[in-house]
Amino acid sequence: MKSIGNSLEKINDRLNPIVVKELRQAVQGKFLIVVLICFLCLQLLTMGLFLIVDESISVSFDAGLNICRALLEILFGTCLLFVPAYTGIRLASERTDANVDLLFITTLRPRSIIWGKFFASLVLTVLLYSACMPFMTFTYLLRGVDLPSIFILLALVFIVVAVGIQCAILIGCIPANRVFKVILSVGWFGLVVTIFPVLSVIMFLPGGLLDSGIGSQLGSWSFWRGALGVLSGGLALIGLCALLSVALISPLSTNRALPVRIFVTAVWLLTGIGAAIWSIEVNDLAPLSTWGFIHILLYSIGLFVAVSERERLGQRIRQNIPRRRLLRLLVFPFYSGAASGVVWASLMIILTALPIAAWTGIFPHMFNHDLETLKSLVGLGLYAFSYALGALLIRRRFLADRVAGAYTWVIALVLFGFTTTIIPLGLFFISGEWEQVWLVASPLGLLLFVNTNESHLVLHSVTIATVCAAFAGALSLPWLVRQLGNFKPLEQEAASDSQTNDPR
Amino acid sequence: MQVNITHLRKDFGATRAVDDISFSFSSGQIIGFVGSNGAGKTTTMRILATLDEPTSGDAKIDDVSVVEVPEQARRLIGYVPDALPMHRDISVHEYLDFFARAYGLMGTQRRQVLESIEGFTNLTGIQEKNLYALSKGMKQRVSLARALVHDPPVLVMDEPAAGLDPRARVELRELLRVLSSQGKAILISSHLLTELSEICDRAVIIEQGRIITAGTLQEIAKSDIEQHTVLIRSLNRQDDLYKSLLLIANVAAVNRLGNEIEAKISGSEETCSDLLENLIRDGYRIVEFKQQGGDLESVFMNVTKGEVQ
Repeated sequence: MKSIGNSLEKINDRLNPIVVKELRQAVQGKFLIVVLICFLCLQLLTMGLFLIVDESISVSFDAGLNICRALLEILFGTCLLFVPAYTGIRLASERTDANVDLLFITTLRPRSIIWGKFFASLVLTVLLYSACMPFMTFTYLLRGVDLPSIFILLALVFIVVAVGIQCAILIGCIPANRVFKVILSVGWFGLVVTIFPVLSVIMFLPGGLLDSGIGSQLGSWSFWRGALGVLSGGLALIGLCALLSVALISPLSTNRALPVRIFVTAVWLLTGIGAAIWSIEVNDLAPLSTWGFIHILLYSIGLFVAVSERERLGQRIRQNIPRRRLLRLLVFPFYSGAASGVVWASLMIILTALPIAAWTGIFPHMFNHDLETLKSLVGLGLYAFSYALGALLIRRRFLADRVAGAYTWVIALVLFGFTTTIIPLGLFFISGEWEQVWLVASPLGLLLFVNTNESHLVLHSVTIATVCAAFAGALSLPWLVRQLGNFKPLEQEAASDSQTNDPR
Repeated sequence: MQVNITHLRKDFGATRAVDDISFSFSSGQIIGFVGSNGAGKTTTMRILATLDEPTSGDAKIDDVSVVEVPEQARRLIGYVPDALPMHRDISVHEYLDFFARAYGLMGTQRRQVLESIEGFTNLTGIQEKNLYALSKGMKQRVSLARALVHDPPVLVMDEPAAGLDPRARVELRELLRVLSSQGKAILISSHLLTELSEICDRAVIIEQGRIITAGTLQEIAKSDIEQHTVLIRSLNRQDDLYKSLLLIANVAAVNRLGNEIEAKISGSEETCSDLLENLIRDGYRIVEFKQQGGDLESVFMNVTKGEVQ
């Protein structure tokens, strides 16, 4: 007994302190208890209503299926709505500048904090699952549904909720004021409201996964390929959000960009290989172009974030910059800072578009494809580059005293809004009629032209994007060269400073 | 243990919050960090507590730099921020237990440390109470206990006495004396200068991010004061004395305070002595000639101009 006690004591000591604290607070708080009681009552009520009202239950073989469907909906809705919201709101309140004690003044590493929060929320999800399990077992006894289907769908719901939790943690970590947090929360709620019915249709509703009898497909490769795809997609999203969250709560003095960029580059490579194999298998460019679209969209957002980063690196980061010039050039895109971010995101856009272009050029008859997709990908990247660098130029040249560097992305968004809505609407009001060509200088227009097969407009739009990107790039080049020149270790800068100050 | 802050500078955009601050303190010393609101005290303390990175300069605890190795520095520093802990659904003991775990204290050692800290900060009776429901004074004790959990050799305390009632302030003062006698180096900022002057060995006065003066209270009073405030009481001719003082060139200002007259004299202590001699020679029966100042409040008022960035 004593050895068991010692072992438990050791486990208790090894637990992540954030998990212990979060669970203690959850147990003592009223929120979880209220949600749990409401959840149980709702399940009981649903099951009772089905058993009392549904007269076909005694003759039908689908009673278990129908009740299971309803219970899974309740479980999914409760977990997706409440657990991420609870986690995100708590983290956001602990993340304020005035409330530094829990997150910032211990020796706990940022990754322990983020994984601690994530794990604690998963435990809460498991608690809700455990409250649902007896009812689920009962549905199996009522027939119409097989155990593998229940378990696989429960696992699928768990992955979606886990992604939701990690997204909420990411939002909670954003250092924002109250107004921005309210906007983010509304955005989050909107996303949940949109995702919930879509995934419900896919998973539970008639004609969805639950009806397809997943249990019978366990022996097929296509099932496992799909399952692995969903699992890896979920893990990639969780990993990305976790690393971004860690970066957001890490001290400014650290190279916060490094883990995120290494992870994203690795995911880019692995998913790229996967998409290429899939394209070969189905003899269609669609998987590869979808991969390209997702990644270019991601790096376009990355460009907006990058230009909002600080331009001057801290002492701690500069101590770790390599001394050899060539090595310095190689690692430059993986360091924090606006210029490094711009270089990395631009490189990734080029590296995403290039293989697709090369492939379609080398094997023009291998796939069913159209060049418009490729053009739209290139155009999107060029537009993002133009907006981001244009915003950086405007802030540096005209608004340096009025707008902080951290808000450069807002200027980029204004530029995006201007070309996408203001100019077309202005032209519409002047001429009195709507023409698609007015959207020619906008990425949204580009996507529209690709969908409506307006090849000449696609070409015009890509040409405009190229000119804008070349213009913004040329004007930003001196800044980029200066930033690259400043990217050197502390000792070297001190040495060059002393040489400059030396009167001899 | 020696804390060295060298050429610390911190810019927030165009605003320079801390401008080339350098000072040091060591084990067993209590240093008062004094300045108006916006002078740069909290920014300096946050840098020392590794919460902010300086634009340039460094702070070292012995050889451990808060800029280069903040993780190591955090082990050596106990930081009491100006904001009180406001977390819901957690008891005092659980709150402290979280920090003990976060600092890597395990099993029996953690229990012993918590017991000892709760006893030292007089929290034993309220350890199961919800943190959110505590009074300001109690929360301040919890905040101090939290900073002491990992037994740091350096304590950085930002306005620990703000909002405390007189009894809590006296108790805090006693706690700080005990901690200082245990060999901890303590940097404390407060607007309660009278209180601070009673416990501080030295003071650092800053304004607009720059150090105006630093040293022991006596050193500060001697080095920087160009104006002496003197309280004078005469048994005869009070009105004449008031008028005479107004006419003397070295007297910058004269105020009546009941049956006493307060005169601000520009110049050295010799000037004060000469004034007293002249007044007696003029037939005034002076029974009180008391020089004010020397306490932290007077020094602070004399050396600062109340300017902020």
